[in-house]
Amino acid sequence: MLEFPGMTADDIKVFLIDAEEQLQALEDGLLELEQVGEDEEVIGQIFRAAHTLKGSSATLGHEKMAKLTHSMESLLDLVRKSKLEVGPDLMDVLFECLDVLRVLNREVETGQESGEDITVLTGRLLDIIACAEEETTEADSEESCAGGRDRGEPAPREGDMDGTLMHGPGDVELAVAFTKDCPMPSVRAYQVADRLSVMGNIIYTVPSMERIEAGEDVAELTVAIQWDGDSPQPLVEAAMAVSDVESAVVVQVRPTGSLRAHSEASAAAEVFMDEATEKGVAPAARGDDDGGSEAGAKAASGASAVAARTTASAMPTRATTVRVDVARLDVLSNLVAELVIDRTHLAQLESKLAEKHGGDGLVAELNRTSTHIGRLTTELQEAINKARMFPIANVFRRFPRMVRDLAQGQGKEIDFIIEGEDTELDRSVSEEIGDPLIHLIRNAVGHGIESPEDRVAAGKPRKGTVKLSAFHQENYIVIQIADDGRGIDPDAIRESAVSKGLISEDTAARLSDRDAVNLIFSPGLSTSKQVDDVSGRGVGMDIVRKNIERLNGTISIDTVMGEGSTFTVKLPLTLAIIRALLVGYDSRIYAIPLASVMEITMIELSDIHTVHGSEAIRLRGDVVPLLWLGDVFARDGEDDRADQWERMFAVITSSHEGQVGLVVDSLVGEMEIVIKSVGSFIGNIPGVSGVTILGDGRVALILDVPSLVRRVVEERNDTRRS
Amino acid sequence: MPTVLVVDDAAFMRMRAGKLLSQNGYEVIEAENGLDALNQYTEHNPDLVLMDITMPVMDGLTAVREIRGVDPEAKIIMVSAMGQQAMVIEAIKLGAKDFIVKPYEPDSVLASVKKLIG
Repeated sequence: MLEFPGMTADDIKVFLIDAEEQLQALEDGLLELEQVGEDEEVIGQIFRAAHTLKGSSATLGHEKMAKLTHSMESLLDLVRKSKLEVGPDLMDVLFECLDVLRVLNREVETGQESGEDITVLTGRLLDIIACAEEETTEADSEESCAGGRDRGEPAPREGDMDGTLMHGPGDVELAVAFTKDCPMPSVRAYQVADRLSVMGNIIYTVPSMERIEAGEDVAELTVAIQWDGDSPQPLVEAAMAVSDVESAVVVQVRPTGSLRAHSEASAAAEVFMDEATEKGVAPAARGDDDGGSEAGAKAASGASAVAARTTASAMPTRATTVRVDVARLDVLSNLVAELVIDRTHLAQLESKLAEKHGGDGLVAELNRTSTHIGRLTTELQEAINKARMFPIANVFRRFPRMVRDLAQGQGKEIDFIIEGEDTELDRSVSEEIGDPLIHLIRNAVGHGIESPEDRVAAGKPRKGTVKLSAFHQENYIVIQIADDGRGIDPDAIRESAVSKGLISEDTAARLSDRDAVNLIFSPGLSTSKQVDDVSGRGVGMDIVRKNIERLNGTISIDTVMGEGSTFTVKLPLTLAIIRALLVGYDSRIYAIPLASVMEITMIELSDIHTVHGSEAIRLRGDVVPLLWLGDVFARDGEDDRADQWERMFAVITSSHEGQVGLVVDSLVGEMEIVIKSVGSFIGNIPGVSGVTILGDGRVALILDVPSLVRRVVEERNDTRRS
Repeated sequence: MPTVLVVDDAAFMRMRAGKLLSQNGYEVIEAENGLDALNQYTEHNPDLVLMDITMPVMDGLTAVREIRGVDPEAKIIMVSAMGQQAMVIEAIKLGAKDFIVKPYEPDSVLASVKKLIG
């Protein structure tokens, strides 16, 4: 268990949201850096992301994350200062860091230690840093290395005052000590010297101001200052006022001008004085350059005012957003779904009333109100659906990295283009669509795009293109993955399908090219043919298709040999509400998703033929097998076919596996239905994808068309084999 | 009630600091970058600013300069990370009054704040 003392669940939630943003910024930045090379802005973005993560993770108490981001930051700082060049090796290390950070971030999410060891990675970072620093400092290494720990003359102790301690104006030497756990003692030292410098001329400091500003560790600071007051006590107080100062002691007071430090210290002090003057903090003791520094200060503040105006006008317009827990949105969606049901009910009641008491004024008023409520419900439903929508960019953004890694691993050159990432879709859909898309993109990179050599040989540009695009079409979102690779060879698929025993040679020969290509969605074919280092996740195209169909979506392929393939995935914008055809069978109502309904035809018993032992009808020359809903959902002792019906309807439904005519006895109508899951206590009912509540309170089963079609196809195959 | 402007690009850090300060009797307003901070400062004129250094749009150092340009009396505490000594010194040169280092102890934040605005 990984625990963060003092952090509430809310704290961790906010941390995770933040961290996810930073990780994404990091990834986007790294990808861009790799593309454009050294770019100040991009490096800045990466640096900031690492830095922010460092701060947050350290505060959270995630030591490994803080350490790794700290090392990354150091390295990025060198890149930023152009002391380190961006090359493939560096990019790889940085990407590796990103991966490890994601693992560490997951630790926070799950509360489980991952066992990820960062020492090797940080070691590599530090090596790179050390190497780069060695190179850049070689010229002046003598000084910086040798002088690193030199603190000048040891400061005289309180003990050796040898009677020179006195009151009244003079040169005062002050020893300032900082607390043991003082963070950044060099800055505290700077603060002390800064404060003292406005009280009198600083003669020298040990360590020198230069060293202090360079961030050298300062355990103790000695300041010699020219003091005009009687008692040096105000100096002590000023020093003590700085945080983390443990003690400030007057070491010696000598007549003015008698304290002249060795050259290094005084030179440093002069530098310090110059700076103090520059920024307009006039040393009190120096009346003669007051005027100059004041003018300088004015000029400086004038300049910053101008800067403020220019930056203010360049302020980016930021969208104001509120983060809302998905659970709350789900509650809203559910409430609206209930309203939608009631709206339908209300409309039914209202039309019944109108039939009964047509001319009544009250009925007319009810009509107006119910129409209004109906309209408001529709608007509310749309608004809430919109609130649940978010740009598909959230799904797409992990792909550039993936394509990069895949292409690199396979020695391919690929331009990955994303279009329409602003296209919005429902959260529930976006959560489900990621994996199928990953597979399709892997295929495009692994199987679609050829090696650079092959491409050149085929007269194509070396660099292949994979384009991922999204757009809206009516109530659907369409996602396309297009590559300009080799395309899919229908003959190869035919051959493979025959050799795997999926179809007979005869059937293979009769298949159109299009149908042959569609065979890649058959279970036996894709997994066996396509498991390799690229798509070796054990996920075949059949699983991809199944997942997409589970979302009430469809997938299709367009491919031209030698020119490339395009996979088109079409998904409903939301999973919660669909349009459905309501049908009746033996006084029960069933809902068929409208997306899978091709047509409805009225049939008579005499239209039904028996083909290969199963029932079918002829529809414009095609043979369409029939499935009686009563056969599927028969209740005990109720399996009669209602053969007494003379006329009935065949609802022609289709999935990729073919068409099936569902035999029903009545058509109820078309309407929007709210999908409710069947519930775990009933379990998975074959042929049913969910239930819905109708306006009058009755429950209707929602038919799972693909599984019904499969059932018919399998039955037919079984009869053929036997 | 004294008002503290908490500036940090990480919502997490803003929330931590904000919680701590409001529990200890300060009114807290927030900004997520230097520019935002400058605007908030001119609008609300807070008694104190807790300023992160590394931020997008406008970094903390520039923000210190800008805010001090608007109000030379502005009291600003830098919130820095380990390794940013040079920048903190720069900030102090620009007029920041104090600094704390992330990850910080609640007590050290409160001590610094109290020192400046009581």
